[in-house]
Amino acid sequence: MTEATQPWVEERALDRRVVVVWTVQEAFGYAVLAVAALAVDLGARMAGADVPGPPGLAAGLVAVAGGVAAWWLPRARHRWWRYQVASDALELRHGILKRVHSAIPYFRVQHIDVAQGPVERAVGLARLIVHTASAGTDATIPGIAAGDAEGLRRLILTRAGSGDAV
Amino acid sequence: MPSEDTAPPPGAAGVALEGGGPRRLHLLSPVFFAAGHARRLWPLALLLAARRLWWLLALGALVLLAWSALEWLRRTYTLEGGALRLEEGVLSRQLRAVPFDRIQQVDLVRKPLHRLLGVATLRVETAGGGSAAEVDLDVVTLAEAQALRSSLLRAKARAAAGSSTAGSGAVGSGAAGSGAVGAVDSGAHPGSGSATLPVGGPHAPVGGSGAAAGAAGATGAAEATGASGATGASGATGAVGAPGVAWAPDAADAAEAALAASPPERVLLRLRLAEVVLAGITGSRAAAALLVLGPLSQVTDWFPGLDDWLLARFDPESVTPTTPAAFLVAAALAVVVWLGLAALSSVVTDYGFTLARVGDDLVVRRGLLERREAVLPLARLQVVRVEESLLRRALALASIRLQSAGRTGRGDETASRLAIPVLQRAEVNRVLGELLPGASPIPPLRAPPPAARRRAVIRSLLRTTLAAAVVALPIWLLAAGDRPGLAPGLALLLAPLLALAVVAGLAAYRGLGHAAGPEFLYARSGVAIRVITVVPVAKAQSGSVRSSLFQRRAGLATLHVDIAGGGPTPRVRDEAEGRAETLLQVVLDRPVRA
Repeated sequence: MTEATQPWVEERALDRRVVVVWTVQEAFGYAVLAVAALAVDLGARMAGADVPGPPGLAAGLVAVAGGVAAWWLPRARHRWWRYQVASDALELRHGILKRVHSAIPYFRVQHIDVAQGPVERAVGLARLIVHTASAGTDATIPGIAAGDAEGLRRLILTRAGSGDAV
Repeated sequence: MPSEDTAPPPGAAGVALEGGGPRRLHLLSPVFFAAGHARRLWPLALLLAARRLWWLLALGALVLLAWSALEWLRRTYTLEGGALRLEEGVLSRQLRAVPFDRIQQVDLVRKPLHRLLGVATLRVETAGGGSAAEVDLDVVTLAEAQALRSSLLRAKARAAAGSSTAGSGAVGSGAAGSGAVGAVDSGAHPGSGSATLPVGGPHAPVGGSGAAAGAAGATGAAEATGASGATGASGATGAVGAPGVAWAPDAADAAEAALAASPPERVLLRLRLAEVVLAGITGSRAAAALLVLGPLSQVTDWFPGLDDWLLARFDPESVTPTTPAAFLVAAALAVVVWLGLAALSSVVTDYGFTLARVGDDLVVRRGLLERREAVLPLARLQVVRVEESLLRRALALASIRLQSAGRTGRGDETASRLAIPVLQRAEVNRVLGELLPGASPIPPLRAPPPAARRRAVIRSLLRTTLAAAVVALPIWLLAAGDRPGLAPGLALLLAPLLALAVVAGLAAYRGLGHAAGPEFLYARSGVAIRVITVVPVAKAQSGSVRSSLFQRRAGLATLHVDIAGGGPTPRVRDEAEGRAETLLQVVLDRPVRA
């Protein structure tokens, strides 16, 4: 094992910057929803339908609720996210309402993707997606510093290889 | 750099691949990317064409091509650090690394257009869960594809040699299992014609194998070539030449041995005609019929005025049952006909059902008009499900479903959907022991904690209330105006419905249970169809413990076990949180304290 494995062995939280990524993503989703609500609202008014309240009320409500959700959800999600590169398996714990603790033994790992969306690239983060032979395996670590992702990928693959293969 | 890559001398096997830095695909690749995108966007294109917006169509094509060129610029591959690495993505970037020893299959695909242009698609697959190939190099020059394939296979062989004989497959291999397992699979098929095509290449003995057979099943025009690269001949058989080669050093030997002295067949289960008929009558098709027609025969008793109403509506000449008795007879006849059809379809598909063991394979033979044979190597069997519907439970019958690590949408669909349509409950343990040695008898199952009972009842009540509300609300809203008695009537109907929901909830709780042996995990659930899932711990790819907010408040959690191949995820539902975590350790094959 050539990597410096020490810092990974303990349970770790995600990189704090992932909150920014999630906030942007959530906000974008709700913004689209608010615009759609506004379009429907105005369209209905123009068609002569009797819509209660002032114009833009629905869109405003969506925007406010979305704003709260976009602020709160990413922070809560970050608080509950933990991952651990244990001796024989990768363990993930996450979820706000539905809590998930999943474990993937290294020797089951088939291949690993490191993915970066535009927002992630802007803040310097990457996502690690671990694949096993099962499509059901839940193994995406969303917030890893882009510089660390490669090291972590190699670490997992080294361990995957050093086990009793498959 | 790409220009020199794209035109290597023809037949150059020694295209330097390793250590050469990232390489791009062929210069023509953007055209193929664009064609792929265009195939997804054709409705839009059709719309534009219909509106005669040719300029927009041309602009769209240009944008597509430009985007594809960007994609091509960003997509590079490297053979480095013991893995095939593929980097891609314009806005979202992705780096995929496939370790050499995980490669199951390397296919070289040449469509007619590919052949015309002297290029090929190289598909690299692992035992991954998806149906798509893990790495799709679309397109590279033929020489590059061949060189790449032989380097990958060599690297895989080296990696496999490094990890000793772990591939031989008994414990822990699963679908993730080595190429050898996958290859023996179809190599030993007595039935599939092109299964064994031993091919030699300059670099290594290449076993014609699972890959070749899979491709043969899918395209009907497969041809296994060595790395020497004779690709011309496949044109005779069809449009697609798909030389498939899986790396399986000892598979070819195993397959030959299997052909030379085919091991004796041992019949595990043979269904008699009566049992096959019973399977049809008690099966899901018949159940659906009973659900519809059974209550219908009672209808005339419940609504005394119904036949008068029917008479008024329908021409008496065309509808024969004019008296309640006649109506009943007609309904009974319909049931008989329906059941007869169900039995008949069951006989057609499952007549002479035989489950046998030949060497390390399970063989299923069945069918009245067309004899079908499916072969499943036992090493690829992942999960066994014992299913008992209410009706079958009453008749002491059960059925068994086998889940294997076949790739969905490829050649081995039959193998991945293997099932025993019906068998006596007394036989279940014997058959289970044959399928998964050591798994039988099914141990007594442990019921989840009482909190799970409360949860089951509440869930059932909530679900029923919701369904009732969805049905009742529109009725009430539509008819409340002119019928004042409707609301109390609906409310009165709700009471027995809720009682039924409580019973269903209790039944759901009674259906739950699990047991964990050293090698197997047993999980049971279901009301109408009770399913006992038997999971070999050695086949678990990964596991997770999940708990919703409500589950956590009751101190419960559900264990998911991820298995290779399709089919439902085995679950242990609503166990105590601590127990679920312990089970996760069992699944991971970690030592568990007591």
